[in-house]
Amino acid sequence: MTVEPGGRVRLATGVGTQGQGHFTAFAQIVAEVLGVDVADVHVITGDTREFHWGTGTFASRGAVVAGSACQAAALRVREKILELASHELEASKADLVLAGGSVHVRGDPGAGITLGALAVKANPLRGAVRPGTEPGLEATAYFGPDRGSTASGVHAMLVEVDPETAQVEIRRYVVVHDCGRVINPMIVDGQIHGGVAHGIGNAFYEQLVYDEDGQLLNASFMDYLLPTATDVPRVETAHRETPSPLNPMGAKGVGEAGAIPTGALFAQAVEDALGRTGLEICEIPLSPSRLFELIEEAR
Amino acid sequence: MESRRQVGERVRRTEDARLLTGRALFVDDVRLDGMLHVAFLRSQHAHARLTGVDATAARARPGVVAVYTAADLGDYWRPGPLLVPPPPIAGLVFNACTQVPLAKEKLRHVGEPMAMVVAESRYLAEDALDDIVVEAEPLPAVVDLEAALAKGAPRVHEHLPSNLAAHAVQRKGDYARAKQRAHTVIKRRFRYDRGASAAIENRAVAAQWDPRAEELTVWDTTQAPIPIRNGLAQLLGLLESQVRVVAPFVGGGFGPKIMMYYPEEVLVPWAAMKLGRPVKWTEDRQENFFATTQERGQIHDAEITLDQSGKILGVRDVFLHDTGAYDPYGLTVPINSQCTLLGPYEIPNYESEFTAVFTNKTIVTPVRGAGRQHGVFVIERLLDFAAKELGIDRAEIRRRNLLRRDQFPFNNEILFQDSAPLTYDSGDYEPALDQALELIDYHRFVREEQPRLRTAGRHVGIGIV
Repeated sequence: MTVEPGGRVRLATGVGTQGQGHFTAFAQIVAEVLGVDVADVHVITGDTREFHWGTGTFASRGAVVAGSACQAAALRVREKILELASHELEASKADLVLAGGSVHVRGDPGAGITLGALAVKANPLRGAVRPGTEPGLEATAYFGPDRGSTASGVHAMLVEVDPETAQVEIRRYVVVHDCGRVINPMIVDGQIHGGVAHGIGNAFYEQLVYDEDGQLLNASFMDYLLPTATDVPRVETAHRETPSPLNPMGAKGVGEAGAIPTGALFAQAVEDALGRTGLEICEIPLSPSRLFELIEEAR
Repeated sequence: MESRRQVGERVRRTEDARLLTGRALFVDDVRLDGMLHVAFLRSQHAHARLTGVDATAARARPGVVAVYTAADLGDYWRPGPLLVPPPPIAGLVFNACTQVPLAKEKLRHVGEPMAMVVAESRYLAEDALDDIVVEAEPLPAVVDLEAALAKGAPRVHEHLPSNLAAHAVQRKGDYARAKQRAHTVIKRRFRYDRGASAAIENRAVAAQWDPRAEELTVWDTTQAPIPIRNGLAQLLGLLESQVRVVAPFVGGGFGPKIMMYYPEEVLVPWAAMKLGRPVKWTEDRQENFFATTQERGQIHDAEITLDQSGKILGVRDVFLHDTGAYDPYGLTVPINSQCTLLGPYEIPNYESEFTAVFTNKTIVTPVRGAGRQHGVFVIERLLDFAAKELGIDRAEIRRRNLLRRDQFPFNNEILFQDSAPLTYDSGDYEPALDQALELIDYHRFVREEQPRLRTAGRHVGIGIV
């Protein structure tokens, strides 16, 4: 992480991005620590020229691992900012406030110095580096937790089933989830919604059908049924926060969460809707036609 | 005074303007002067002996720059790395068989690449696929998990004595003893079948070798650009600093785009260096169905034992896991299934045994959830059937078995896929259950709404897990 002379913060991380909202979430973490605008944190992901170490984005680890490293780097940069500003403003660090992209002495917001101006002063091209200091308002930080943190959640669903056609309509879908400290509730909602959509596909639509010769029979979206916008209900979410003790932010993963319990939930709700003794759903994925068969068998 | 609170706020996504207006870079957007395009000749057979790949006619087709078969790769032909070595479970059997860049003597699943055509356009490259003459003797395919383990079954990897890829048993407490005290025992067979990750963007790789700077740049739809950089540097004999891997915007990863060292990922950069021209391959949707990893084929025979009040005494589960034709990702998926079956519940006695099986199907690696779905499905269904049998409400039987807030950190004793004992750091489950019940209005629905709808001839049901 580097504060550039223009006052913007450049942040590079080893994780790649596949739509999770890293540019925003990581910027929020940094913006809070440095007192800058989210828009002024320029996030770079997935370019090995920009960052040398890391593994990647998977296993619901982006916020927990990269997010914690972003926070650690921001705290170090903050310390450098305070150190330099304390010298420039002739004030003790404890009296300094970082806000609005500047540092000022508490109670005197008019007489501050911008982070950009401090970055210029921290640049050794414009003056000798004082002994015992480093050039630049920058830091590199890493984070490795002892082990994974454990997120949790409860899914609930109301479905209506037409026993003649095996048509299933999801009337309500509720997710109460706990991924520890939430960085951005909107992004977390999006992760949950996407996960549930994946889960619904997995439960009732999507199945790769191989024949006895190992030939995949439905290798196109004409034949492989994906849930569409009309099949995925509005997902009502509630956030609970039980912070993880395994990272400084208390974060837990959320990327996979929405997709995991959906099959089990779907089976239970559909069984309950049909209310037939003898109907037990012990397989996933179902499909409209497979459910029809199961209903017939239980008749 | 602290800075303004940002963490926890519903800040609008700063990346969306670029994405929604089509200005974000995806791998297929990479267009470079002199760029060549690739098509792969893929196996039509699930299982066959490959006796010949003759590319003479393809090489002669105008516009074709090069055609590579396994024989043309020389020393560069080698099986991919074992990405995740299995944890040290006592008595574990694990047979590593990782994927190869181009099939040499054997075809092990439909879609496995046999030859790579590099041409001036993708059209020309695809046309040239028809010019390649393949000689293959079909073998019976290994598809069904139980049949795969039967004596005399055809073998996916003939150097192994059977199709067994792995076998592991993990225990906690003493299940057999717990069963002796049981009031209720419920046993069922559960099946979970395969699906695709179905990311909106398929895989793609583009590569450019700059001979002046002696630098290789690779644009890759990977979820793990740094491991891919390291692996390519090693394979190609370059310094890590000579290889730049860029994973720009990627249209969904969901697991199959992790650090796979897919054949295409390894061959496209190699060809770019060899030919001295930029090379690009973009997977089409049909290829994605065969050549991008999949998940979720398992069969569980599971048993739960409970006391009269619905408290779980123990669970025993024996399952088969379909790992597909190769197992580069180790045992992450079946171990996740094994561990996640324990769920948020206190299960004092647990015995779980799995056998991973090679089949003539696309490789299995984690897909969003990575095996957890199966474990959750098994335990939640067992609890549903137990609730019915014991006459206990579905939500109530769960409540009686949830871990309490004061039990964390909670050590489940068995080893997790990260090699450490499966330990839950923190949680508070019962209030979450109550909140979900309240939000969906569970009790009122069960008591009033459902009977009323039933009378009206409607089949509306509720679920809670």
